[in-house]
Amino acid sequence: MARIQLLLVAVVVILLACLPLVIEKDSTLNLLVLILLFIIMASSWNILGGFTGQTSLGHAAFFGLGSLATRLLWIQGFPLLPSLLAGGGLAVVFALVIGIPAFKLKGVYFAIGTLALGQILFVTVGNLFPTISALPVEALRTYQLAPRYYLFLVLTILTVGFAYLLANSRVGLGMMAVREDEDAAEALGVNARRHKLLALVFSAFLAGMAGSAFAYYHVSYYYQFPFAPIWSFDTLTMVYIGGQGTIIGPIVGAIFFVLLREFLVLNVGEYHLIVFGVLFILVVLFLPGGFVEAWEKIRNLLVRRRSKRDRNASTTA
Amino acid sequence: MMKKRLSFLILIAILLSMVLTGCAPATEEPAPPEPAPAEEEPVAEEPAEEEPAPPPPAPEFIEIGASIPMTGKFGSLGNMVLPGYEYAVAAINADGGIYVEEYDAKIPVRFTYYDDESDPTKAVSKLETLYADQDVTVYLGGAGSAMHAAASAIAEKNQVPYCGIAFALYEIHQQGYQYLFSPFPKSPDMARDVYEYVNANVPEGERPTKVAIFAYNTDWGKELGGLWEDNAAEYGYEVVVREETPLAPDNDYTDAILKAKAAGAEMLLSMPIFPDGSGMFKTMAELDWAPKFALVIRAPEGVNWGESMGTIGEYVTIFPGWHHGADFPGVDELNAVYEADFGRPADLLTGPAYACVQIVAAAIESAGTLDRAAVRDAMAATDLETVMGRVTFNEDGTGNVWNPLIQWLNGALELVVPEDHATAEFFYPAPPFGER
Amino acid sequence: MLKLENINAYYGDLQALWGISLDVNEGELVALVGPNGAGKTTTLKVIAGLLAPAAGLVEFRGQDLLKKSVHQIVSLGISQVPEGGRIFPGMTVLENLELGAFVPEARKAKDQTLQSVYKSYPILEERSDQLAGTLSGGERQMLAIGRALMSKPRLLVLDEPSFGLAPILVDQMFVMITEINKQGVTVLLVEQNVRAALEVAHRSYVIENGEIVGEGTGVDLLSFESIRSAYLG
Repeated sequence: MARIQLLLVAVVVILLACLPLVIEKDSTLNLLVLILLFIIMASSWNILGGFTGQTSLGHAAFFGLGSLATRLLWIQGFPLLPSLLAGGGLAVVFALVIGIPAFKLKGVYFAIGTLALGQILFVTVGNLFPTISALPVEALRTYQLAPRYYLFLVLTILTVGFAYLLANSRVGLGMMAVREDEDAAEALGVNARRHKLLALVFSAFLAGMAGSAFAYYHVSYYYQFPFAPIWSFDTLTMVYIGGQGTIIGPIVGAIFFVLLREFLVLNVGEYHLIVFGVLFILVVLFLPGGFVEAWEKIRNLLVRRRSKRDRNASTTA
Repeated sequence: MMKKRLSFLILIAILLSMVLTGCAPATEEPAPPEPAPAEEEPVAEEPAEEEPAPPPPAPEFIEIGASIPMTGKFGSLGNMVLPGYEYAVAAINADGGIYVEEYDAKIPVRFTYYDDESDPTKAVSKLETLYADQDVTVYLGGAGSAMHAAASAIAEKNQVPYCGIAFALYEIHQQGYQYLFSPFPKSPDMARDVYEYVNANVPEGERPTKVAIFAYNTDWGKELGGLWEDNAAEYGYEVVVREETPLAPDNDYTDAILKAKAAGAEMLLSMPIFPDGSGMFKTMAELDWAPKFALVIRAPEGVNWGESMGTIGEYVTIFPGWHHGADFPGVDELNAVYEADFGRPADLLTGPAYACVQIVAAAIESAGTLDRAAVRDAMAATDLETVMGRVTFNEDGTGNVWNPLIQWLNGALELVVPEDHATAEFFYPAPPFGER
Repeated sequence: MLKLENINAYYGDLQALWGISLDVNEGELVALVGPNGAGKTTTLKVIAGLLAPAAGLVEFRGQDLLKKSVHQIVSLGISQVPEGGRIFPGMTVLENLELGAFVPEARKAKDQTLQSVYKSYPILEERSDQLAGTLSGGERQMLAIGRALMSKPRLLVLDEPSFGLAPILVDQMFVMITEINKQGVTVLLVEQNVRAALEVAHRSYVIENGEIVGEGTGVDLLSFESIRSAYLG
């Protein structure tokens, strides 16, 4: 990474770290938490779906398992850090269990398979844990939003940083080759199954950690809620909108999605679902690379025009 | 090349997020009933040390907020609760508001509510919004135990007094919450009274001693179902069937009903939400199982039960906490305004909702401040005649309230127990569906 | 170097190869020619470890390839350029080339190999940051070969490298292949373009209906009357 970009990222991180000191309204901080949460979700989905080309419709399962393990342990009185890691751990265990059979399915069958798995988990958890999970009263009295925000911020930085390193690593290269052409990748010595499984494990761990942080953050919810299919669909939509397979795409997609949804819910209510449905279809049909691709195109246009102008300028000079 | 676009896009994203978060979300604000004349922003005066301090400038409104399920699973309950809040606030504001000693002024109430669509997660976030944007002094609750269970933790976290009705969950009151108040019959009352009332009104030998329980596998379903089962023996009953179903609008009760019928059950205890309960009774009619006594909480509470069920829905009894025939001060006035708008006396849950606002107003007045902790303490010390009778609170926030039994008779909701408030006589046993 | 003996292979119940035997010696450029569906690609799949034969023997430098996985075979030094090149269009040219050096042995010498590939095909260096999908047909084929060379193969296997190329590019392609061979890489070339293949190859095999029906030096085979009438018209 060039020095100037490193500097820019550092500035953004410092700004984000200072925000709780200047923001007084909890609702603004809550919105930021939601954005960070979805950046983690989208970036983690992107490792499996964007880098490796395995479109999952069951990402909520990992998020849900992370939240379940952490919430149960932490409320029982386990220290926070091990509880959080247990969430990511449970998601990884589940990923390993389902990974081998799930990758027997390819393309749209894999997507349907993951959708079904997520749904099964959603219903099962609803039946096994039907009661509310509210924080114990002592935890409610001492509840602070800022530590939650920082946890999400740290996880976001780790997730995006990891995705960046992965994309520039040999393993990441192998994952992308699997996405492009599995047989050709195999012929070059890329073990496709191992790379897919690795992508699933990374993806599951990070989504599981997002779930863990959610369990630490959320005051009162039903255990089933983080397993709801909407988490999978929202995540997928934002990655598509932002730009699959890139680092910045899921970030832009998550910010755009959360803010637009917040705006729409306040102004058009339930119709926001239609807006996102239409937006999703438009992106898939006309802009398969999402915002990142749109930006590329605009920039190329600008660059071309500028170079033309330069040429004209030099000829007239 | 991915690296180059990274920097620019991060910048764009940050700018975008800043611009959009800057636009503060517009809050839904039901027209404030008595818009106080917009006073000019009081200029801070130089404190004159010798003179006695004048009362601080009063806020324009006392902010009260609620998240209510107006649509979705609990929509039929929420639609009965909301008018209760609105009429009570209107009545207070017609009188100029609530007197608050600290400001030596009557301050009108501004009531803001959101529809949470029966989604507990939405209720939680709506309550957070009300706290952050409206800085509410008090929360009013929605409807349904599943909703209150999620919402009351937010009240506790934000230390905002919370008055909720239309939920009987007892367990949530045992968490040590200080800010949760509920002037409504709770599961232990309902699990005791159902047997006591039947025993008091039906001579021994004719009692429906074999009981079938169809309960949801939710917090409250498990709680009340368990208490019904635990209490049965003490009052001379036997639970022969206990079925658990998910909280859903379309459970298939065929198997449960056939089991109950085969076991000879004569009493049905249940708590279905509206569409689920109507499905349950339609299936019961098809399979010709008519329990002699049926206590069905929730589904038959709205007037739509009578309209859509006809004779199938007759004789069902309910514990809704209130009835428009109750003989308490203020009930006639409430019925009159309700009748003017809806063409019928106030609905079952409208009264307790109205009482909630009465309790809150009295507590604010007695606290003499809008400080939430002080209002909480005043609420805990409540001893008030309301439209649902005298209300006091226990340590755990449960109310000491009456628990009337309501029955569907000739297409109308009638108060049948206690006798001194009764609008009709308790009907027992319910005849088979074919003979209605 | 590479030795196939009496290979029988099936797709389900359908026998595709009937007792195929062939040899490729170190430093040779050997062509396998035949019509569509004769079993050329199937033979390559057996060599790459993608299809297990029902019977027979495959050896590479004395090692039994049938016991090796696909990746191990690549590691041993056999690199295939599949039909159509099968480059990764959504990745940059450089990323494509790096993937060629994916196996650990090749990775060690990656930078050096890359320089030599760039030297042979300067256009790839020029386009190294471009998405491979934006390359022209000839450039793609060049990239496919460059990618295969990145694994520092001892044996380069080319499946129909001229397929889909404009005639002028076909000639360039065969020049390229000869150059690679001259630099010491053994080449097994599978082609439908019989004349061109036979002209550049040291030795050739003719395959028909899953059987080897002829073997000899390119020139020998060109004079075969049956070959002339069958493929050269």
